[in-house]
Amino acid sequence: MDFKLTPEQEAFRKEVADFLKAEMTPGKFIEEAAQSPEQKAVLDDFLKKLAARRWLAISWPEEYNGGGRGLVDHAIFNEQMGYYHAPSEALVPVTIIGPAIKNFGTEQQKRDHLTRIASGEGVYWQVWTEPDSGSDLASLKTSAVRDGDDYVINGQKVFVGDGRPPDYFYLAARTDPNVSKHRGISIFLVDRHTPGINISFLEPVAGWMKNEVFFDDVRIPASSLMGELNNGWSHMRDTLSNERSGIHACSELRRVFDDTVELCHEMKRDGKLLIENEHVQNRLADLRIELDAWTALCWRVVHMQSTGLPVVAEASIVAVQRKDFLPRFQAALYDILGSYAILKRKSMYTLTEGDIEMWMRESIHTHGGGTPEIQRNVVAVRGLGLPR
Amino acid sequence: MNLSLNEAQEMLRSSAREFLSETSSPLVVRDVEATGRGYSRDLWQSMAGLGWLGLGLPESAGGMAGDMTDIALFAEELGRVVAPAPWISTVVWAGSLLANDSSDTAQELVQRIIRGEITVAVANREADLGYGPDTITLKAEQDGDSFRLSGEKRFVMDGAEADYFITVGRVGSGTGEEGITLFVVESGAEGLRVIPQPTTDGDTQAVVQYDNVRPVAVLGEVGQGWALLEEPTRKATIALTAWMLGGAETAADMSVAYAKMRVQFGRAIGSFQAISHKLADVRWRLDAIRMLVVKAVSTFDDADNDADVSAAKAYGNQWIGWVMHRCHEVFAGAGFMKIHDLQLYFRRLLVAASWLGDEQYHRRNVVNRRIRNAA
Repeated sequence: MDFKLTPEQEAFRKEVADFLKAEMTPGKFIEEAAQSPEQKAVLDDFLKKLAARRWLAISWPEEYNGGGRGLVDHAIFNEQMGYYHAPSEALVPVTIIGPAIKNFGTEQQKRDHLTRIASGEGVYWQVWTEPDSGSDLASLKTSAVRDGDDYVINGQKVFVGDGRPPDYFYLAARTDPNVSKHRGISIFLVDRHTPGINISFLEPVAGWMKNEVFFDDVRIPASSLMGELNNGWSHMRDTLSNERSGIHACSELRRVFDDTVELCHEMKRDGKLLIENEHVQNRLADLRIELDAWTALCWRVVHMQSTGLPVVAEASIVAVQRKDFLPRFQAALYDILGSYAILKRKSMYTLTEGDIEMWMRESIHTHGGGTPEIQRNVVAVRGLGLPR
Repeated sequence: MNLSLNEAQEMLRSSAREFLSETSSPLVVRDVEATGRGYSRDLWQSMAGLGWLGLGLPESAGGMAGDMTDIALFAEELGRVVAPAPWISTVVWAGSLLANDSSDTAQELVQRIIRGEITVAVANREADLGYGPDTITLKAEQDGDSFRLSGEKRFVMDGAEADYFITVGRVGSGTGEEGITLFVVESGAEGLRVIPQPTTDGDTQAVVQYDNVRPVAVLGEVGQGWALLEEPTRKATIALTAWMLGGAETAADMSVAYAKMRVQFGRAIGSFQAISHKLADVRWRLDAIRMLVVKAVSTFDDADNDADVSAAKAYGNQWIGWVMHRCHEVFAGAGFMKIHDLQLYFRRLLVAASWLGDEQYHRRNVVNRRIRNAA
């Protein structure tokens, strides 16, 4: 048993790292500017560069402009993207929506969208969550009613998308209100420019912009349906079958940790370098050990997925690890770096271009992809076989 | 990257599990605790009969080939039944120390370990709470072509019933690693007092007092003792962490099974999220420990393996203690009674945490190797 990569994989890791080191210049992707046309241009350019290397859709077939690589390479790519804090939100189309189209989209949808997504063209939002349907997603109420050759959509979605104007929505809506909640949901791929759609911004505490989307008698062609009618819930679950080790989020924090250790070699408390402060040393050691354990838990999922072993609770264990760690990580950074930790990017004495401060805020972002409680439910019920 | 066991490793694990299910059980643990004999002779002889006492020891001495993975796998299985057997101290720790020494005396002791004739303890710790070289004060004075040992060793793991003690003493008045030398001492040697100490678990540890004791042999060169300890101690520490993980896995299995079956307020208590989320966290922490053990095993031959071993043991000590408390919360009053097996696991794992480096020691080792020199 070992975690060692092959020489080819090591070389690939270095290739990605070298590329990202050059690309991710300080201040290039600024969260405050996530809404601006300038930021969109910078991001589009970055995605095009990834696509040109066939890294954007790294594990897709080459016929769709994918990289044709295996899941280990995919994980290596995600790991490096995380470590260099590349804008991961922009990868939603390739990590979630594209694989779904590939798995259960129509031939026409595959032809229309896969190559575009893999080439970094078009902005796709996953619009599932509703004001009254968060953790209980299957209770969603946005309706899609068949009318001749069309479906008519009505409802409201929330906390979706990012700061770039979207082109398509990957929508979950109720197509049969008369059956149990899991049975009457269907998936649609909706052109954002269809009349009756309104979008308004919701600014989150950290990271990119989120949005509310309102559907008011939005008439879409029946060919927008993805997959089987009323079988949306199982499609939504299958959507998670892509690379799902969670290594990206883990290496994001490893970078913050590495930066913090470096800062501890320069900053002083009571006249003494932080790195010589025993309390600081112990806190750093505990963080380092937990990051090592977390990293290994991620690679376990990579190993299982890449060798065809069924991943049951292992991916949710990684999610619990992240969600439990994040607030403790914030508290430890604040303890170690003190008043400097809360200085934003434009403060005179900000640390790491405001990155440390951003993580102070990002630490309350433990809900995305399922709350800690939902993830623990998965571990308990699917992993341990405990009763619901 | 490959995190699957190969066929031979799977076979080792399943034959170990089968063997231990036939020869060890909570009843065997209870019997050993009741009689105060430290370990089960029957179990030990069965292990000798099937060659388990030679796992990882040289074939030239009658052992069976086995690498760090094999040792950790077997240790985990022993831990699953909290087997009352000094396997880690005698076979992994003392056995490796002796096997690394080519002298006839050492090689003969290895053969006798493998045959199940003797158990051997490593007597390294003293009054100081730490585990490093500075704690060693036991005096070794040159006496003709041999030495005389005087001093006291405490917290000697499986020392109460050991036949030999590999004693860590100091020649001269140096500090740090200077002068530290390994001596083989027979339990019946003149001037040696072995005093078993009651502890939270099965009373297997001892205080060993040396009053002008003549050792039967010196291992390696005088003054090289600390360096000689390094690799066997790493090996034993990985094995012990795997052993603890195995024990905690059983405790977790018991707790999950109980949560499915125990009914209160008209429902299985495992359907309450206060219980099921607790057990989900237990599963997470045990998986995290497992991954750190796998890492420490897989980097065993690397130069900085020491830090991986310390990461696993520090985290293991911390979170296995936490896991055991969560398991006891699930069992509540039932687990608090001595007739219940869960408390055997709690007590034995509590004691194991202090063997071969406690949380503080191993955390400091990570500080020294991974934090201070990081930038």
